Amino acid sequence: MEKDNRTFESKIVHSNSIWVEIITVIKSRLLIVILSVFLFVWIDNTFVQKLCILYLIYYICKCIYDIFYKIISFRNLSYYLTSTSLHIENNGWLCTELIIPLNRIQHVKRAQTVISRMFSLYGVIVQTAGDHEKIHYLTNEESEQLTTMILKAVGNLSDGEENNDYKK
Amino acid sequence: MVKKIMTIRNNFIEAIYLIFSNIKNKIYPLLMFVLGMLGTSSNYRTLVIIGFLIFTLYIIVTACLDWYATIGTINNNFLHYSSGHFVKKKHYIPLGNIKTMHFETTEFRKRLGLQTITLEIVGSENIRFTLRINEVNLIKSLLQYESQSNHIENKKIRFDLKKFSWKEYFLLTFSSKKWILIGLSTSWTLVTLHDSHYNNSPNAGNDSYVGIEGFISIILLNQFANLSSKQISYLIIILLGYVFVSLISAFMISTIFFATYSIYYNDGKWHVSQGIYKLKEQIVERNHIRSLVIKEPFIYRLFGFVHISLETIGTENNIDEIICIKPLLNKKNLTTYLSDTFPEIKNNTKQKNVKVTLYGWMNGLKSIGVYIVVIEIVSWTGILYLHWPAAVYLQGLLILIVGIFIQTLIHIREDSLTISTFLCKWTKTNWLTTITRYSDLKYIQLIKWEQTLLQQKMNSTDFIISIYSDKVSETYRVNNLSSIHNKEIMTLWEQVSN
Repeated sequence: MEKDNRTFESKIVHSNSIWVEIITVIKSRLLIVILSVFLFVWIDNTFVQKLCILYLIYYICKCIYDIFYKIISFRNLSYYLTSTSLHIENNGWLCTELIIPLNRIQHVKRAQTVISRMFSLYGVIVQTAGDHEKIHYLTNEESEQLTTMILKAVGNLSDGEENNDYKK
Repeated sequence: MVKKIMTIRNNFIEAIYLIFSNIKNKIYPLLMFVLGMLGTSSNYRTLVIIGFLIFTLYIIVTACLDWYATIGTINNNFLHYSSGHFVKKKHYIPLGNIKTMHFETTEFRKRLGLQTITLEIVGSENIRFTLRINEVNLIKSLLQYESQSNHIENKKIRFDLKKFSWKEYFLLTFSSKKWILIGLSTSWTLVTLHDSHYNNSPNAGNDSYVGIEGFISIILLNQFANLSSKQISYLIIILLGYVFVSLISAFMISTIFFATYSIYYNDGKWHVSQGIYKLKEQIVERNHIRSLVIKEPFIYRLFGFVHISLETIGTENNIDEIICIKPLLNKKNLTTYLSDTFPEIKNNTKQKNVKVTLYGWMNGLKSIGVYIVVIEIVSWTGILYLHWPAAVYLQGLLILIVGIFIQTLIHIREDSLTISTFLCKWTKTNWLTTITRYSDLKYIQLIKWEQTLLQQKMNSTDFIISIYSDKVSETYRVNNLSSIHNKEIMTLWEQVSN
């Protein structure tokens, strides 16, 4: 794809997004960790206690892996918009390339979780009829700009196409 | 142009049926609760009885109101559907959005001259009416689903045992969990009948007889050591007999089912008719077909057969929504069948297309490597750390993994992704099944590739294809394809999708 065709491009991912992901990773497994600690303290059975220790070791390793994975992912995420499609690329631990044609986009929404709200960050979710893709985490201005640009591009495409009936 | 208008309302017998089913579903559990309360204390007896009667009356009245309020009107372009007695709902559905029509009738309804018609709507709930057969025929003609003369011919030869050979009936039975389960449950009924009969017979005191309860308690309490040799041989005979009767029952039911199965294509529509007691007819327009699926289950693979079905747009892959057009087809005849029935597939290959495929033993090893590592970690942790000697038996699972690896090694080379101007085709193989899907490109929503560090070194990629669906997300993944054409495939996808 020629660079000239790009109507909107960004490689900026907010540095706080790493903290959001760290908290999210820890939060998602916190309940099971509390349960493991509870079982370890209250149940006087060596087998169960050993199982709890094993789980806690696994949990710490998984958390470290997830956090590094997310950090590398966020540092290498980029997205851009052309007149016909939205491209999302990641060259981190897992290299990915995704193209969403604008005529497949159903709607775009901005979303905030409790944790991302603490850092005033937003995620932009692009919904198609078969799946959705999330670009996170962006500042309010960035997310608004991206949403507006996508909607504008989709609008231009619809105006330009007389025959945009999906079933035809 | 004269407007074709028809108003339809459920037959009143359906309202009676609705009252019956509501009573069955709602009142029966409530009655148990009421009886329980009356049994506990009789202080509220009058109040409870009055409440119960009011509830019964409410069910009868709402069922009648439902029947009265549910009306459909068909004109040239729209189906106006209104329902609800307290909250009125009105739907204006373009006739083009009706993706399939199902016709069902039971023996009881048939005797009353009734048939149930279900209209599947794209992106909305199904609409269902129970009408007189002449009304159903009128709807068919209004919606231009009128059956042609060859339909009548098909009706005449609905039951035909010669549709498949005995070998093919065997394959159809044993490749389906559904038929095996039916067989197992049918023969279980026979076994319990035999058991109760035996317990009441003069031979009940026979020492060798264990009985179902005895057998279950032996398994649960692990009391095999207490059994006499006579009892063990009796148990083995019973088990073998049970399996044999199950398979025979499954075979018989499946044979009758497929002998009553008929399909034909006419005037841009597929007509599929099936069912033994409950006759079901499905009609689907060709332009509502989302994808063509060619499935090769393990047992089919052994005998060189495939199974072909259609998925309609907005499908959720429910068993009711997948239309089987060829339950059994010899793989040698597949290319001829596809080019005759779906010429667009053959024509499409002449246009620009990119095909990616990759086969390598390293990929096969990688796919099972994770399982091997997990088994080894769990097994050795169990032995050394938890002092659990039985964990050594987990090593036995490695034999299964080797089996999977060999199977995958043989068939994984079939995995591929092809994109052309109008079609997208992808094949995915695992050790049990090979599935090939052809889908019109307009139904493909997004294509994505993923590559881990290891895959980058091995030049392989995982492709993810998302497809138009009623579900929030419906994606398919084809792993370990060649990464050489990544750029090319994404560029082509971008070009042809607009």
